[in-house]
Amino acid sequence: MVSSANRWSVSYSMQKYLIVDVGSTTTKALLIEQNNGGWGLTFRGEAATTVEAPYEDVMVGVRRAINNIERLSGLRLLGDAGSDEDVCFLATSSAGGGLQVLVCGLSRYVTAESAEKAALGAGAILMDVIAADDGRNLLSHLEALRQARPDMVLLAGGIDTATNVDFMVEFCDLLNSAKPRPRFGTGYSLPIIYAGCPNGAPLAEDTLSDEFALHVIPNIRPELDIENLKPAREAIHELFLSHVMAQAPGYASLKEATTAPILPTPVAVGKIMTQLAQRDGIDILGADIGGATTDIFSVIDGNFNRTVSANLGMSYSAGNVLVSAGIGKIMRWLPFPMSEQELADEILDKLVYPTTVPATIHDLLIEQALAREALRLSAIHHTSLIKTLPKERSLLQKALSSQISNVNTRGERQQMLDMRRVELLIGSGGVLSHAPRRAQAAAMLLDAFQPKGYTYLAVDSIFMMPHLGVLSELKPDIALHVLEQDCFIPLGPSFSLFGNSRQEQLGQPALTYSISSMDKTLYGTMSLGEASLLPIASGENCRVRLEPAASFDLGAGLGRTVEREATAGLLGIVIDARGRDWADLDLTVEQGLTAHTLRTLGAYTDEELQQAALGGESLETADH
Amino acid sequence: MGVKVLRPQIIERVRLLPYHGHVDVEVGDVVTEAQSIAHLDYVPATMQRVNVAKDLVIDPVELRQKLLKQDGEFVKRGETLAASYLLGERVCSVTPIDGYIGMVSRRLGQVYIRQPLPLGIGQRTEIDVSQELGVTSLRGLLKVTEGTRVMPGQAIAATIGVKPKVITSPLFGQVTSISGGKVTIEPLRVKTELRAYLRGKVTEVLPRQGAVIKAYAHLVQGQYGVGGESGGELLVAAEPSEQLSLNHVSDTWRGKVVVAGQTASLELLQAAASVGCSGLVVGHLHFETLRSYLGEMGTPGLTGNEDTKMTLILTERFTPTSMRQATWNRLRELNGRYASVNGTTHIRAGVVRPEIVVCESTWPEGSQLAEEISITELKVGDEVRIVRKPYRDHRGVVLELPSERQQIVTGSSVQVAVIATAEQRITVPVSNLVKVREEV
Repeated sequence: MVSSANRWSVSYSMQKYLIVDVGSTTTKALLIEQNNGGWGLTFRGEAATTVEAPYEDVMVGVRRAINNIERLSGLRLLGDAGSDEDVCFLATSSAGGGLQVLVCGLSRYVTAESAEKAALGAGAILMDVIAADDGRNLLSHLEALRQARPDMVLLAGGIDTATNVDFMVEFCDLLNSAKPRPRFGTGYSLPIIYAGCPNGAPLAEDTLSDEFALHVIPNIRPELDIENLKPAREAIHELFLSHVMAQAPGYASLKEATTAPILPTPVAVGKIMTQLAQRDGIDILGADIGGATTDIFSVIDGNFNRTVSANLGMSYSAGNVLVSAGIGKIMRWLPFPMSEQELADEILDKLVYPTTVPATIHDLLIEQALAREALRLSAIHHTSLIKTLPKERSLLQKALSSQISNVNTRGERQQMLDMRRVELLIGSGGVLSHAPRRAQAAAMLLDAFQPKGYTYLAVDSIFMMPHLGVLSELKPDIALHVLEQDCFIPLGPSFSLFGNSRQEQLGQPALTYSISSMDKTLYGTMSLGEASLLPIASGENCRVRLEPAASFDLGAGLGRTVEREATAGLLGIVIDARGRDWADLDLTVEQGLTAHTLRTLGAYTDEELQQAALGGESLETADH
Repeated sequence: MGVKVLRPQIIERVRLLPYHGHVDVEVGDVVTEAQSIAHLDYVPATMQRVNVAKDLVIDPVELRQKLLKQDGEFVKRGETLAASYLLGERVCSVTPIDGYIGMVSRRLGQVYIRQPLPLGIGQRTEIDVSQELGVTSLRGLLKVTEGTRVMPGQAIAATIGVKPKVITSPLFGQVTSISGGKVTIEPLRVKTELRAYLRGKVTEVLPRQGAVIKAYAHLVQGQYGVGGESGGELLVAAEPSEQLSLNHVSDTWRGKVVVAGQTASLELLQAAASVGCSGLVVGHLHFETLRSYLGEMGTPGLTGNEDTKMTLILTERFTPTSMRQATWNRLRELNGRYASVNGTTHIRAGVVRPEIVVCESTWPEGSQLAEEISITELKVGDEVRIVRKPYRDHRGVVLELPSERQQIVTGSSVQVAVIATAEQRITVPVSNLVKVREEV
């Protein structure tokens, strides 16, 4: 497709941005241009990704996706004769299984954890996290290395003052013995990034340089209480471009064609989320739920974090969600009774036929219940990894404690994700983005993430965040403008009540509210267990005043009034007084709350819920 | 996506040992299903470090020059690994265990001895971890969970502190229970012999790893299975919609692959396994029955390594249904023949489904390896089966394939097909259809 380098001009005063995201199955191309005076998404095209056989050339799919845009727009964006347009061409990629990294560190909860965070933040899929204290023996480590086919290895271990580097050298020996082969290509050496203690670097160089492409970077964990993830992330990204992309079929042409470096898809998502969080000074939480895996992204105090829950997803991993969550946890999100056996069998049928779609309300409700648990478990996984570092110790404490005892300060570490501080919650992935009604997506987000206090809910309409992330490197203002205008579906602000709740409190007064918009003021009281949707027109600015009962909190403290401005979304404004932190609720009560919420948010009608309760075998869609 | 029931064709299977061993066949050899084609000398258990440089009082980088043994060589306890002279005296470093030299460190001056795992031994072991660690609660101390596979010497639990006290596994096994501060480990059976699985010819030998076998065979693919490979005479014991009672299980099932009709109860599964049934094939099975039968369930989308004596194959799904007549008919035709079965199921890209394979002894002239059947695009006129509610199990013919997405009852807009069934004309999401022609 591209016969010369950078067919698209590299001028940054472009009038059009053509951006592709090469996913595992689909290549999505978007055209962003000025439209009626402002920047916006004008056309999009999709095609199957062509990294695998029979094509084995990513450019075939890229060209097809762009051809679709050309057909729709009448523009000539590519072709042997060149483009008629002043186009900046950008790309992100997660094809071929993404960027697969094997991580190794000395201590599972110190250096290995930092390396894990760095790799995940760089958009990697972790093949394994090996640590001296992970409970496996040497042979298991060796076998794990033998079986891995990573794109690269990230090796960490020891703080700057560490003198004992035996484990690190031993791990180098294991690498030499196992000789893990790179996933793509032949005739090139597997890249290894050494991000361990400085004392170990010469030994690693001496031990590994013959067989591997060793890259020594600054220590990822110079002190117990200091992390330095940036060099590792940059090194992974650089190697992604120079090694992995160069080996993957057709990527050399794609790399040559793009105006700026290709970004791994999750990195691009991180960039746009970070831009938004920094501009607005807020914490953001995002989720991308797929068939096999669920990615959770957060920006906390301006720092981007990402985790991947490898076995939590809507189809290939449906069975694992059931096993991990337990049937009761899924059941509570159904607004009708159903036997455990029947529900488990229905979920496992989805595993057997993973590409099918629900064609009854009953089935749709089951899938959305499953999604809530996949998201909830993924969020727990995210929270467990995103923690503060151990506090700095005094010199005396340091002198008295070994590295091993330092490791055991895990218990002192605080979770960084605080749902009271998350002001924007973004859902992505088919079950959320393509939920037949937006209120269904809102209900799933509220149930799965249990936000506390004020949180704005949104879904990514067509998973544009990768495209906008790579654009934000060049044009952050345009990227953020398009993000808000075309990417996010603004479901609306939610105000969620929390505080320790007991079943007998259900129905007791929980809060009063007054919401003033341009032309009206809505007043009301709500009881514990209720959810309410206030019909304010989308985009309308309101003054919201909420007064919780003494034992409840809306983000300002127990019994303290919350007052703030809020902009209504497509749904209006949601007030969720169902409470959080319940001790124990009977299943029937939980299902009752679910049914009430689905109704009041407008996710389902009464008729639909009644129909769903009858089961899914009725032939209501018959087209006689 | 649909189960495949294929006429005899040439198929190929790559047979691999779990670790390096000896391959006992050559290219061109004719083999039978149960024939051993490769075997393991040993299964590596633990690796033990021997600090040779320290023993010899030499610089670690000099180790290679002083070694008397090579990588991969077997050494017996007390045997000299390396020797040197110190102040005119010969000093030696000896191995403290029997094993194979697995690795020699370039910088640490260490030799790693890989201890072979004694096969076929080991008993169910219960370790009172709380008592041995002297703690009342194991919270945060356990290194394993129920289902974890452990090797000898692998940490089960450890205390926290500068000098942690560590409890290790004495055997190669699987943690089956953690209760009341006690951890129970069941020994895992390790197969030391690799069987041919197919009746056919060896077409390639993979040195120390295994071989590629080609055969002319009938292949019936299931939708879901557990347990790895097994085999035996095929016994069709029930009609497609019949559910057998415990009375049907007898010693005649020993060593056989039994087609048991629509489904099986937990009691029937346990009884079949206890009489030594090699494999059981049913239309559907409740997930809870499966889970109870297995004891513990790992990742449901990734099976094959379950420690179960009897392979289990579902030809249809989990929710109740009969075995499809076409599948049953084919199995009935093959009744009494030797069948190889494999319950391994990987539901991901590069999907692996369970299979029942019956090989022919003779091959037609000029037979070529069958192409992998690819699921072709749906066309008007195709015969299809619906695999999801509300018309699950209905069959029909595709009348129309509208190019535009259409809204279905859930409110979703999806690609649909208009189907004519025997009774009516219905609109169904394309994703919920399988082509019958590709199934049988």
